[in-house]
Amino acid sequence: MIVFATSDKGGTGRSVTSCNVAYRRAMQGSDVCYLDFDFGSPTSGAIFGVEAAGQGTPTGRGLHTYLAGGTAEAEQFDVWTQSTLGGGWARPLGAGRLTLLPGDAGGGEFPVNKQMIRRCTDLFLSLDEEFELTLVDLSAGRSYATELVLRATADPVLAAKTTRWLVFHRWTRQHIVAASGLVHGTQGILETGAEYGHRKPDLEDGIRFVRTAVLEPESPQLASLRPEQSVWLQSYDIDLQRLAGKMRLGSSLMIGSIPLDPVLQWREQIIVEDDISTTRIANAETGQAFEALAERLTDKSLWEGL
Amino acid sequence: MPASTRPAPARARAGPAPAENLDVLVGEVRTTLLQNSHQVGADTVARLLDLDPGRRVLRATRPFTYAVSPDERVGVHCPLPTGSGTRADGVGTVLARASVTGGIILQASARARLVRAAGERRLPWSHYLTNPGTIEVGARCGAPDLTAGFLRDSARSSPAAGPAREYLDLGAVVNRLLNQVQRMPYIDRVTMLRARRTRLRFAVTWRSPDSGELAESPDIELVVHDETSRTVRLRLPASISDPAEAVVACEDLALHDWLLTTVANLMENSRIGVDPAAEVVARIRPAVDHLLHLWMPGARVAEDLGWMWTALERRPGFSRQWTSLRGQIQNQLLLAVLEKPAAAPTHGNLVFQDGVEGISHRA
Repeated sequence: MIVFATSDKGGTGRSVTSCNVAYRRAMQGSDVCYLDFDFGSPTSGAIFGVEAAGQGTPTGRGLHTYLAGGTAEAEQFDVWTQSTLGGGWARPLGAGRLTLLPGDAGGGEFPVNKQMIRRCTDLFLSLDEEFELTLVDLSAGRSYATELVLRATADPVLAAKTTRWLVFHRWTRQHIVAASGLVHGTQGILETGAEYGHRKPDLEDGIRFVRTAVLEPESPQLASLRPEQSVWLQSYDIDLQRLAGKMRLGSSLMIGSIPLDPVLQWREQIIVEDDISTTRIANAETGQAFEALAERLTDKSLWEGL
Repeated sequence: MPASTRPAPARARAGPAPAENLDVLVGEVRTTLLQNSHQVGADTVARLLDLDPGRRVLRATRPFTYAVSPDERVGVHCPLPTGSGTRADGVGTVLARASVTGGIILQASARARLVRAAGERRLPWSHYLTNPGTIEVGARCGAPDLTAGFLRDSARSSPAAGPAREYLDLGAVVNRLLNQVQRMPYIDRVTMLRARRTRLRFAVTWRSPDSGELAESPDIELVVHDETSRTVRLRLPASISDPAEAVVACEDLALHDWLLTTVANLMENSRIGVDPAAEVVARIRPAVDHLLHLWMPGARVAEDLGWMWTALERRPGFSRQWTSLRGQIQNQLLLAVLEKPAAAPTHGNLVFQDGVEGISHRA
C-alpha cells in the first residue's frame, strides 16, 4: 500500500505526524518505508533522529537526485540502527522494518517530466516488493511533488497497488477552507488527478482528512479557561464542524485527530513510550492518536466509498 | 559469454610480469520475487524475458522450470573501483540478462571480463563491440587491486561513503533489468510475499598454469555483509576456463542464498511461540506454497564447478540451515493441527484456511 501525506498549508504538523505514524505502524509489525518528497524542506531525517540525513542527505543520492536521474538508486537509512533519538532504538521484538529515504540537502522543487514519472513508478514498485506500507510525505500545496505522484499513480503498472491520501489540516476556519480547496478546488488533487487519467470517484474514495493540533473542548488542558472562553470555544467548535461538513471534510471523512501536544510545538520528534510513561513530556492521548491513525490506514471499513 | 580471443590479455605468456597479465571476471546478481499473485507459466515467462525481439529466450524444464533472456550489451566508459585507490579507467561492454526460476524467482545479472588494454588510446566502439562482455583497463593495476575494489565497493551503502562517483555500476544495470521485467503487462503485480532484493557480487580469477601445486586447488570465499549484500571471490584453476559456467554457478548460489534469506526472515518475523500456531502458519504459508520445493543447490552448475557447492555445504552449511528451517515449518504445521480448538471441524485444510482469514482481518 502507498499512502501520500499532503496539506495545503505548511505548519500543519504533516511531516511530524507522518513520521510518527510510520514509527507506530512499524512497531505494530509492518515493514514500513518513509519517502521524503518534501523537496524544498526535507526534514524527516531530523524528526527520525537520523543525523546523517538531518536536513536531507548530503551524499547526492537522495530522492531528489534519484528522480532527476542523477543516481541509479536512492539512499536508504535503517531508522532502527541509525537514529540517535533516545540513545538509539534497537528494533523491538515483533516490530517491522522502518526505512527512511531522505531528500537531498539543498534540493528544491522541479518541473516533472516523463523520465521522472518512470523513475517514480519504478521506485514505488520496487519498494512495494519489500514494504507493506510506503508512506510518501509530499510538499505542501499544489506542488510538483503532488503532480509527480498523481501522474505516477495513474500509470497502469501501479493499478494493482492500493493508494491512499491523507490530507492534514489544523482545526481552524482558514485551514478547513484551504484543505477542502486542495482536494476539491481548481487545480486541486481531484481535478489534476482526472487530468492525468485517474477516475475522480476512485481517487476521492482514497482521500481522508487528518486534523492536527486539535484542542478538544473537553480536554483537561482547557480546565483553567474562564467560563466565557469555554462557552465561546464550544460554540465555535460547533461552527467549525458545520463548516467542515459543508466543505466535504466532515467527521465521516476524518480518519484521525491529533491533539495539540506542547512537546510537538517545540520540537518535531517521534513520541516513544518513554516520552509518555517515563519522562512524561508527551501526553498519552497524542501517542494513542498516532497509534490509532497507524491502524486505520489499513482498516477497510474506514476506506469504503461513501 | 565467449572467451576473449584477442591476443592482448594472453594468460599463457611466459615470464614474471604480474602487472602485465590481467583477467578478472566481475559481476553482480540480484534476486527477487516476481510480482505476481501466483507462479507464472512457462509461456508467460518466455514473454516476460523477451527483452530483445531479435533473439530467443532459452528455456529448460528439468529439474525446475528455468528461462533466461538473451544477453543485453551495455557500453561503458568509466573509472573502475580499486582497492588501493589507483585510478583505473575501463572501456568496453557489460553483458546483462534476466532469468526466472520456477515461475516465481526473478534474477538479473551483469558481468564483464576485465582485461588489459592493448594501448593507451581509446579505440572506436566497433573495436569494443567485437568482444562483448569485455572491459579493457587502461591502468597498470593488477587483478588483486581491481578485485578488492570491486568487492569492497558493495559496502557503499554506508552513509560515510560520500558523494557517488560515476564508477562502474553493475548494480544499476541489473536493477534496471529487474524493474523492466517487473513492469511488464503479463504479470498482475499482486505481491504474494514481501521479500527483499538481495545482491551478490562476484569476482573470479584464474590461477596461471605455471604457478605450481596450488594451481589445481580451487577456492571460494563467500562473505555475507548484511541482510541483503553478499560477495563471492572465486579462484579457479586455469583448466576451468569457461567464464559462462562461473556466472551460472554464481547465479545458482545467489538464488539459494535468497531462498535461505527470505524464508529465514519470514520465520523470524512470524512470532513463533508467541502467537497461536495457526496464525504463524498463515504467515509462513507463502513459503510453503511457493518456495520450499525450489531448493536444489548445484542443479544447474557445471560438473567441474561441483566442488563449489561441496565447499559451501561444509561451511557455512547452506543445506543444514535449510533443513532446519524446513523442520521448523513442519513443526508449526503440526502444532497448528494439534492446537485447533475442538469445536471447529478437524479437517486439516480448514485449519489453515481459518488461519489465513484470521490474519487478513488483522492486517
